[in-house]
Amino acid sequence: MIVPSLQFLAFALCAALVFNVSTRVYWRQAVLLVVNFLFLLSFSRVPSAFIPFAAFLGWGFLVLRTTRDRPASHLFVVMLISVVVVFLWLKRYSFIPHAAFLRFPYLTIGLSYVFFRMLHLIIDNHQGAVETKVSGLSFINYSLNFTSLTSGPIQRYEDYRRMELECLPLNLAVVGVALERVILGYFKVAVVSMLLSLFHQQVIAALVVDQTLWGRTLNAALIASIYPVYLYFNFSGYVDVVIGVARLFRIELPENFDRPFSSQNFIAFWSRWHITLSNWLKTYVYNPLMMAGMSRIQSPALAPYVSVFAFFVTFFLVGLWHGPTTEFIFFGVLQGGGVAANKLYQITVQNLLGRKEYRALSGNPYYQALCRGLTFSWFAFTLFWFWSTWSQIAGIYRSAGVLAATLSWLVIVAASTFALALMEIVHRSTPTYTWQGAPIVESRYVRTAWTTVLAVVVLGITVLLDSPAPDIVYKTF
Amino acid sequence: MLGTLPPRDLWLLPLVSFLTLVLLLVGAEAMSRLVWPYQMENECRQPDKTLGFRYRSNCKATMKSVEGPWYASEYNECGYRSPASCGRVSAGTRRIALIGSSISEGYLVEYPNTIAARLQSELQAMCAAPIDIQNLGGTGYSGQYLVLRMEEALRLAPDAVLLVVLPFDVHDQIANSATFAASAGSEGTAQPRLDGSLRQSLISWSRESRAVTMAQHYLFQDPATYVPLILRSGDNTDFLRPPFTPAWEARLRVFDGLIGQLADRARAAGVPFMLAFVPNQVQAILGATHSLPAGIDTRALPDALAEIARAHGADFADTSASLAAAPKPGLLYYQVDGHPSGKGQPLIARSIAQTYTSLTHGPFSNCNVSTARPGTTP
Repeated sequence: MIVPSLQFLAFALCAALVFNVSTRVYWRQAVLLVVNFLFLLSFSRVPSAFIPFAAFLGWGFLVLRTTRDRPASHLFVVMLISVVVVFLWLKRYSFIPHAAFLRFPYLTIGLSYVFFRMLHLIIDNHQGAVETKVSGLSFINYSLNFTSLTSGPIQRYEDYRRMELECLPLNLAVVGVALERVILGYFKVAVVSMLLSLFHQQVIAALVVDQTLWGRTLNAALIASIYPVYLYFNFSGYVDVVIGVARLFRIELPENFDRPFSSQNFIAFWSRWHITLSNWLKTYVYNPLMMAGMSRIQSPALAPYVSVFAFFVTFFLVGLWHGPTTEFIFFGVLQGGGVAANKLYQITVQNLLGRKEYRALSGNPYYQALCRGLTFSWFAFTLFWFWSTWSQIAGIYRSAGVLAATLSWLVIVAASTFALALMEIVHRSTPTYTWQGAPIVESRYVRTAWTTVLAVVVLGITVLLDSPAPDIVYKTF
Repeated sequence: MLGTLPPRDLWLLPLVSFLTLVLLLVGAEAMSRLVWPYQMENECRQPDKTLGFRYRSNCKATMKSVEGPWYASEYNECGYRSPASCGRVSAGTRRIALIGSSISEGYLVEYPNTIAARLQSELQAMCAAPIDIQNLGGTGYSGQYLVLRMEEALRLAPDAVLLVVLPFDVHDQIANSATFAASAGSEGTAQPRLDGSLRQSLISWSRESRAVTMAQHYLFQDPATYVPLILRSGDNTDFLRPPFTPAWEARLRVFDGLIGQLADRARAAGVPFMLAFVPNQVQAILGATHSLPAGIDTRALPDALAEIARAHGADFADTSASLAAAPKPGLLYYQVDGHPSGKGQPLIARSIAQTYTSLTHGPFSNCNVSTARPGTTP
């Protein structure tokens, strides 16, 4: 059952009705457990396909319990590494010998996100950040929460547990807002990302045919710049759907996107794009690296450069997490390199200009617009190693030609600078139009009308095409 | 449960939603009808006791489909869609009588781009001789109506009779045979009965909605969207998945009987008879791809029809390759309607002309193809 489908929505709504029959903790835990299992069952009917997944969960729970009351750090490190190794083995990373892999097909859906939740819980539990003992039921429901199983977001256990106990209110207003979010999500996935995907394929095909320099330049620019926008609508649409659905289960999932293309630098970009993943890596990779580095550095002048190194490693792992191929390794190098270079630039320019002048420069609207354009362009560039292969990249480069390929990047920087600046102006001006003291776009009547329009368009497109919406790109990871 | 909403929102919000829905649907439909008008009623069509309908003599009708341009349908003194008279031809002129359904008629296509007109110009160029095409095609003529039309065609003393079919024409054989038997003397073919269910009502509404048609037209232009969708239409595309289903086997048997009757009459009159196959939109698109989806064979139906034609001594022309060779074969058809458009019909005509001139027998076997001028681009 894919998330951006009417079947999933029907399943979730029926389950939510049963879930909310009672507000008792045990009822909600039991219903969520059944719903989580039913959701998993929709991916396979073969019992053996679930065994490795179940064993991974079981091992994770055992490590969780074992390392809670044991202060010895070496045992903790060994058991933590065992969880990582089992994950890498189940995900079939290419540096593990093929002969070691299981010979039968098994479920790996959501394994990456389960892995992150499990690691976070094990580490925090060991450090005493988790106050009470984690029960098996809470552990399973937290790890397998169907609303965020396939592609996140990665929720912290403490937040999940608090909502499990507190029972967040669910009234008509909340239901309305949740459904609004769901419909917006479906619109992003089923309509916008679908159309962008079709357009992307068309411009790739057109690049081979078009012989004029301007035509090749434009097509190359479109090929590079459409994909990040498509990925945003595809992934953020999914997140909107699951956040809306989770709220019907009295669970508030964390946000995963915050207008990422408004970012003025690549570091800020990663605090707005796939937020829960970058937060997880910052907490469990960047911060420990920084602390370890700072404890070893004697010279205060070198301290900023520790963060450069820590940024590189952290965001290299972001890229590597996506997959074991050389493309993803290079993708990681570009992510880490981009963030590290950004930090180096900040350090260098601040040293050159002084803090006050640097702050003044950063506040200049033209400078901000250019930074947004450069950030978007860099992200679009790195994504080539996300969605294509080395040979496809070479093919596109050959079809475009050196001059057109070069010019296309100038076009992307210029166009994205202008477009994103316009977007910022529109975003800042919308609250200006008010009604009854509040921005008109936030009026529930306007929102109801707008959501109705989106729902009709989604339904219309889905019925016309008589096919499910495109699946989520991040389900692969 | 009400939360922070005032009580009036219990009815006001649903009302806002409902009014938005109505405004959206009505507005979209109104805008679509303004932008995409259509005139599908052929004023020249009149009831006929034998054929169900025929076209009035010396009549002109202006028509337009939702997806296509305005065009004129002009009929000569015999009620055929031909600019030339249906009377005796001058010496040296070779006449083809074209029979068939909407595809032969040139439905939705302006006359200069129809199969009939383009076949005439192609053969005239190839043969360096005057060619006359009498177009006895008519939307809905199939089954036993075709046999009657063949008899009428033979009375024109043609040098050849040509029947052009789409897969749709083979698909409708059994239904049209029943219609002919049940409604002889009345006009037109029966519409498929809807069972009155909600689903059928929605389907019926969506067919009539201009906004839906408009949306489909643009969405279906992309083969990646259109092909998977149309391959899920079950029986309509089962001919692409050999072995043929019992339903398709039955249709081919009926079609075999029909071709037999047509070929017998043509043979008795000493007139060569050709069956020309035109692939439908999805066939043309798939014919241009290098890797077909699993289980799909675009050659199954044309090969079966070629065998039928051969068995009855008729010639066979397969226009599939010509359409598949075009840059975007899907755009040679009206996306929603499915008929070949004014871009597709010239290619079909050229392919048929090339088949005629490649035969070692028949009225066009002596045409000097090498002196033919290239056909004009549609």
